[in-house]
Amino acid sequence: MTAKLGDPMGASGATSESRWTSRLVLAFAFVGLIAFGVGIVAVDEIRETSERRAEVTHTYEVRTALRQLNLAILEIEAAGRAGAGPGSDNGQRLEAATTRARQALTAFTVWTGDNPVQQSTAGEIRRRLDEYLSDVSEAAVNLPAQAGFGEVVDAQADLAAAIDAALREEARLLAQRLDATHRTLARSEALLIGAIVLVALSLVAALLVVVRALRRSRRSEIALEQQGHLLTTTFEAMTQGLVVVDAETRVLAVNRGAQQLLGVPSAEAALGRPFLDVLRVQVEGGLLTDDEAQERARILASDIAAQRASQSEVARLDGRVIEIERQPYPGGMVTTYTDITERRRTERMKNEFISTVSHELRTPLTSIRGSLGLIVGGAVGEVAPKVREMVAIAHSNSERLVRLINDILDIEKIESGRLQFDLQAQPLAELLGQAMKANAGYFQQYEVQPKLVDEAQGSMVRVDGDRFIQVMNNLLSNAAKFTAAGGSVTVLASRHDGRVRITVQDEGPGIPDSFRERIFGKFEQADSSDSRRKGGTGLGLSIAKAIVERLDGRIWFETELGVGTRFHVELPEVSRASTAVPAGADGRPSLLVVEDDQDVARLLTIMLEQHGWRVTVAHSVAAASDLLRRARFDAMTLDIMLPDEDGLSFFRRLRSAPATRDLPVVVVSAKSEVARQELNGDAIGIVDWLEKPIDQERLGRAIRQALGAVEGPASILHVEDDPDIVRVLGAVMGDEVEVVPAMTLAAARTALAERSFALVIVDVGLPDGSGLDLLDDIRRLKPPPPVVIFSAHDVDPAMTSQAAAALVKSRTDNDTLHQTIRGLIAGMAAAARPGAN
Amino acid sequence: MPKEPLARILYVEDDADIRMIGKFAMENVGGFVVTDCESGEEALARAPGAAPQLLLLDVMMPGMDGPTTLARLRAQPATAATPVVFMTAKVQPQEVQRYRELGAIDVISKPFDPMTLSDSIRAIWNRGDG
Repeated sequence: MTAKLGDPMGASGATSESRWTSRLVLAFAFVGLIAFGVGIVAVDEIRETSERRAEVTHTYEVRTALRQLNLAILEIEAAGRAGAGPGSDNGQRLEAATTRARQALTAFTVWTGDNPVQQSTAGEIRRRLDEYLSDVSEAAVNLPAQAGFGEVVDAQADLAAAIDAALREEARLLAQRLDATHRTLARSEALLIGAIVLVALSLVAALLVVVRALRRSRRSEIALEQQGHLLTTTFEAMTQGLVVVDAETRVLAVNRGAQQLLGVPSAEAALGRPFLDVLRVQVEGGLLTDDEAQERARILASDIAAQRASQSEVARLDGRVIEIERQPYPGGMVTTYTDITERRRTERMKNEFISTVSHELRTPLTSIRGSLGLIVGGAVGEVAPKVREMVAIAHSNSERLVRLINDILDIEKIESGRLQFDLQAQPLAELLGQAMKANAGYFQQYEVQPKLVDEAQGSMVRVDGDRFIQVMNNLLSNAAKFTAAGGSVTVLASRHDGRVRITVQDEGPGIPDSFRERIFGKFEQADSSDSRRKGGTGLGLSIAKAIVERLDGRIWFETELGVGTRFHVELPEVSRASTAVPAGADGRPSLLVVEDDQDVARLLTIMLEQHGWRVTVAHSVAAASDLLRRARFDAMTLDIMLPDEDGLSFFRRLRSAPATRDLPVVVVSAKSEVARQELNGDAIGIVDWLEKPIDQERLGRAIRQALGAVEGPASILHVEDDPDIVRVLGAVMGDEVEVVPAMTLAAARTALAERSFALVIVDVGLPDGSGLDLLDDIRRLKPPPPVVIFSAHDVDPAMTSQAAAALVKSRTDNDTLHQTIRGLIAGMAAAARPGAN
Repeated sequence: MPKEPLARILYVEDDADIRMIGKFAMENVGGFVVTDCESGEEALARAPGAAPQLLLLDVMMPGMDGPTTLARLRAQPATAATPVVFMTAKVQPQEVQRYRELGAIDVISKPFDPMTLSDSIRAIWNRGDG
């Protein structure tokens, strides 16, 4: 089983959990806030209620005072009526009652200190009381003259009225205060009930939140588990190998596919271990050399450090081809291994198949078409007209078959992207002239008049001449075919917004509506009888469209039934000035730096510009290809690991295209040594291989040497003790190169130490030793020049494998020698190396 | 300098039908003297006697193929420097390039038109970069 696959999911799980925790906290904080609010309100209510109660109590106290006043008055009256002389019992009774009455009145006055109405009433009572007391004491003295008590009664009535008024006022206040108390109580009750309901509701809500949170966390746990299973199952089920490593290249996960491809017995054997250990299993299995393993581990570490995605292909020692794709993630790298052995084999088989079919079909066709051609051409003598007619049919159909095969091959090449273009700026008029000439036979055959109108004089286009003519042939032959005898086909060249337009106009029947949509499709013809009548394959326009689009152009048509059709091809116009870009507009040599890492590119630019060279940077193969198409460069530095394509396959492509075949290349890569081994003998024209980090001095030397090939005659060191042969070689090479002779090993070593050479030619038998001893010295040079062993006898193959070519004097003619040397100097893949290998 | 007119051609082609047509076309339409061989070995044996001015070689042949035949012919004094034209059904651009690198001054694609074959050969000869 695989470890730690759930981890990435765990991160998102944690996020959702923390979200739920915060919701819980919020819910309880809400409940707490409500409870706090309710508490404040409740305290306030309690305070208010107790205030009201105090007021009511106050009223009762006042009324009690008044009642005591009344009782005291009644006592006074009774004592008065009984006749109370001073010092008598009654007199003492009266005095005590009077004191009580005054105390009661004082109490009333104090209790009602905050009530102005009662204060004035209190004053009134005091006055009346004083009058009443004086009346009573007077009457009591005059007893039993009862008649005198009438005045007392009056005073008592006045006093009673005053007390009554005070009592009424207090009764009113009591009623008012009781009412207020009742209202406060009712409000408190309502508030309390409301608060209880609110708290209860909040608690219920908080509870709901908790329950939901719990439920959800359980659900996400289950989902996580399922996702983990899904990931693990997918991971394991992939036929591709997958390895996940951390920043220290320790293996975090490895699926079964990877275990198989890497030869690891089990995931446990790899988990937690550095990737180099895992690679070493392959080294033990003889699938990889230890150097390669270390190199790959190093590249992995640097890719992780740079968080760089990459793609590469590794041919293993057991013959399997593995595609390695690296995708960084923060903290490590995911590497995908795909066994593409079968895919590569199928591609090879398909290419071979197409090539073979093309050959196998053409061979019998050569006989058929050839013999029919001889009969039709009259080369074998007269034949009967009927026979001739039949043979002519067979002949024209054999030609059609040939075209069909060619078209199918073209379509196949276009679709597989293998159609190669040799783009060169050339005058349009010249191309059109060639096309008209090439189709003269057609025009004659269909009896149509060709016309060429050039309104775009002097215009240049950047095209592959052959492919452009192929497009024109197609349009012109169609136009000729569909124009009635006696009509004309007009070719018009014109300029439109910086583009040149080539219009081919016929006087044919026009293109039917139903066919217009499909006209650029494959095997499409307006009606099937056409193909027989007109001899087309139905592929021509589809090929033409593909070619025009590859030339950055477009193709379209205008048609009118019964009048004719105009096909337009529009291409970018190339200005004359830009057609022959010199080695930099300012006369400085121009270098192309192909490097995806921005920092390294900047570093290379700085280093190279210090030498006075002009530098252009391309970060991908696509960008480099584009630049190479548009401008001329004197040399190129090439990284091997590029984002869109392997630098080596790009290099091979450059070498097979005529325009870039001779471009000197300096490889600057972290895997130079590996690439060098991979390219093996095909590395001709690579001036030097520089490892990263870059040795500035060596880079400068390599580029200088690369530019040397452009700037002047190259120098060759000719190590040879026979002066005649030195003279012959000098004569053969003429002014093309400067030949520096060295008659002895010692002289050769001195020369090699003093200066650099584009090539070293070594004879084996020298007076002071074997020329082959020089091979080691030369290999140590930076950069090492190619070596040609030129000896009287066959040389040990082990030695020749270290040389670019080995020639045997007696078997090599001057031409071969010349070609070989020239090829090596120009960096050509001099296939003509008869003695080599 | 004016070139000596082309007269003698050594023609190597393994397919008997094609060989017959090619020889017929070159002799009867073009008026050349054609020494036709069905294999590289036969070409090596007959070349010294025929002293050809031009070699016309098929590329794909069983046993000794065209390039090998050329290399062996080059080792013989009579044909060490004789211009060579390859004749092939494989005419993809990179293949043509390879033939040129092998030393061919031109490549004639199959199927060829027997009526114009001789003209093409003569044009190649007169262009004279051989």
